[in-house]
Amino acid sequence: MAPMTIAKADVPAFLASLAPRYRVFAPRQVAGADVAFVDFDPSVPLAWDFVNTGVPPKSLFFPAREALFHIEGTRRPALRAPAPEPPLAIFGLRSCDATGLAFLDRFFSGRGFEDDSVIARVRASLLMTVACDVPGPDCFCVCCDGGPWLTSGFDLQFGDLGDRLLVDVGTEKGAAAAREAPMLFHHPMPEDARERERRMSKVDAQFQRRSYVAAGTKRISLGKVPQEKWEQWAEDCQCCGGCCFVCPTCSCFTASDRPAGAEAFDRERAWDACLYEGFTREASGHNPRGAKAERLKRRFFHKMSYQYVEVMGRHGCVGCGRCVAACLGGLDISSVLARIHDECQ
Amino acid sequence: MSASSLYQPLLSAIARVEEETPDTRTYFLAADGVPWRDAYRPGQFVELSVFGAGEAPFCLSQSPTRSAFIEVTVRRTGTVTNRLDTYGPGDVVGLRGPFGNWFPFERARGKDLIFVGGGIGLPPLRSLINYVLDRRADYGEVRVFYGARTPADRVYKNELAAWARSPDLSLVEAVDRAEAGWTGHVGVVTTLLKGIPVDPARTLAFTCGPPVMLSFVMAELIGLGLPPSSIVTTLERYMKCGVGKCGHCCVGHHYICVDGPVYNFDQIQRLPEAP
Repeated sequence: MAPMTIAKADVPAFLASLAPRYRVFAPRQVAGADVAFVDFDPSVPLAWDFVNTGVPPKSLFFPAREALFHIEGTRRPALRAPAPEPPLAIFGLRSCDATGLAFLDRFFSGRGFEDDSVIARVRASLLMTVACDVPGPDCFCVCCDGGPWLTSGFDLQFGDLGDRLLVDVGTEKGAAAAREAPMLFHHPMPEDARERERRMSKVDAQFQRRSYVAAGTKRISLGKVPQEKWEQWAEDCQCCGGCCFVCPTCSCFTASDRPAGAEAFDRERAWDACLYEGFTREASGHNPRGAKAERLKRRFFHKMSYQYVEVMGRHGCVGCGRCVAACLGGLDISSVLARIHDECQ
Repeated sequence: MSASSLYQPLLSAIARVEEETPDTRTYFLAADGVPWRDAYRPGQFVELSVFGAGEAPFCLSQSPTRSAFIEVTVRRTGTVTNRLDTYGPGDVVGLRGPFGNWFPFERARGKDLIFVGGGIGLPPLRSLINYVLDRRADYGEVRVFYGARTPADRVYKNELAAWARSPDLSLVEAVDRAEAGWTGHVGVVTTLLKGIPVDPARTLAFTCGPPVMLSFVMAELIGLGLPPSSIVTTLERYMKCGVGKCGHCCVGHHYICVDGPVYNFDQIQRLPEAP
């Protein structure tokens, strides 16, 4: 379907038109300079000028904590599935995060078992991405095939044209959403395509090229990063798990029975992190990855090795740069790959 | 849309409990309404829920050809197993499964089989041993070597006695420390393997036990001429989901829960990370 345009001032009306069918989320300034995806409220202005949210929108699809089912009683239990949820419509997510959601969809439907809660949320959702005009200081999506513009993985893609937005239609679901608000969408003007090209090359030129990504991936895949390097770098790892929690593709979780009333529990899934010492510790006390260096090495093997690319179709970094901001020890994906490139010749 | 049925277990009452050792019990689960009750394969495992305590993986310890129950043999070790230890007949647990790959029993057809178990490592082997005994004509010689710390730490004592009398297999046992009345070998189980006659081309070995035992067993079997690809074990890792999602059991790019838990030592040596 051919691109359309919409006036920026009409976007709130468009989002309001989705409300009967979707739970609509939009970016809003929440505290200080932080922007987050919150329930769309037509009376609050949309945040336009931000590079990305501090936490990726994966949390709307794969929540930090989630009841998988409810348990009444212990020795004579009755189980109850959670209530159905309305589909989500997210406006303003960035290309890297949409790429991350496509990754999670593939991961959670792989290996012969479908995690129907995550993939149902992703597949029922309306993803309205906004292409980036200006990269943030930590962004490297151009090196990770994660943006700044997308060719797929969105329902509608919005690109800035000034006071208007160019709208690419990625799916029939996106087209249907636009059809519901026909008066808001217009045919592009002849110069819009050129203006988009101009903006695309302009943003592309602003990225620092990071040619070390491929080199780092190769060494990690072949096990050719010396053990003493991992040990040396791991000294700066606080094992806080922050890099995992802000990552759009990290998906490890734990599960436990959390009290939810008298003799009642929720089997709760919660995000977990491979950098935690307890992640692999067995009931006997034996821990195959008890050493911090082994856990750091593990994280990078999982995110970047060809062995995983073979299964997932791409590596596990979309270049959003959040771990760069989150890591206290400078052990984010970008920095470690740079060190592998520079220090492991 | 509702949360995943992938993680919501089926319910099963405990029909019977057998005390195996001072810290280990076998649970016989009625599993009425569990469609795969006798449709799993030796080597697979289940996720067992003790509601309010959590869920943990256990190997299926009986052959699907044998029992009207789902059997798991459990040592009291952590949160889930300690709570389970207080359960008895009539109490209800949750079951998800059967998960993982299985012992290569098709490849084992026509072969001589060696089983080497240590302590609580016998339960997964027992599911295959009984499977083989129920199709005895399909296999060559069957030899079982079992080691435990003390005579009291041996699981399946009645079954071991029956195996000792059976013409269908040979059983040799050893204990690290004897007690009064023990007439068998004293020493680690690997000493039982020294110099046994083996035709490497037509032998498959299956072993399960503590990690330190496994490395000695592998060395001993390789010394007898067996290639690593003919020595099969079942790996265990801390595990949450059983279905390749939670990430806990990964070794390299393998998920032990779906790519394993059964591996031969040639495959293990090729893993990018020690198991």
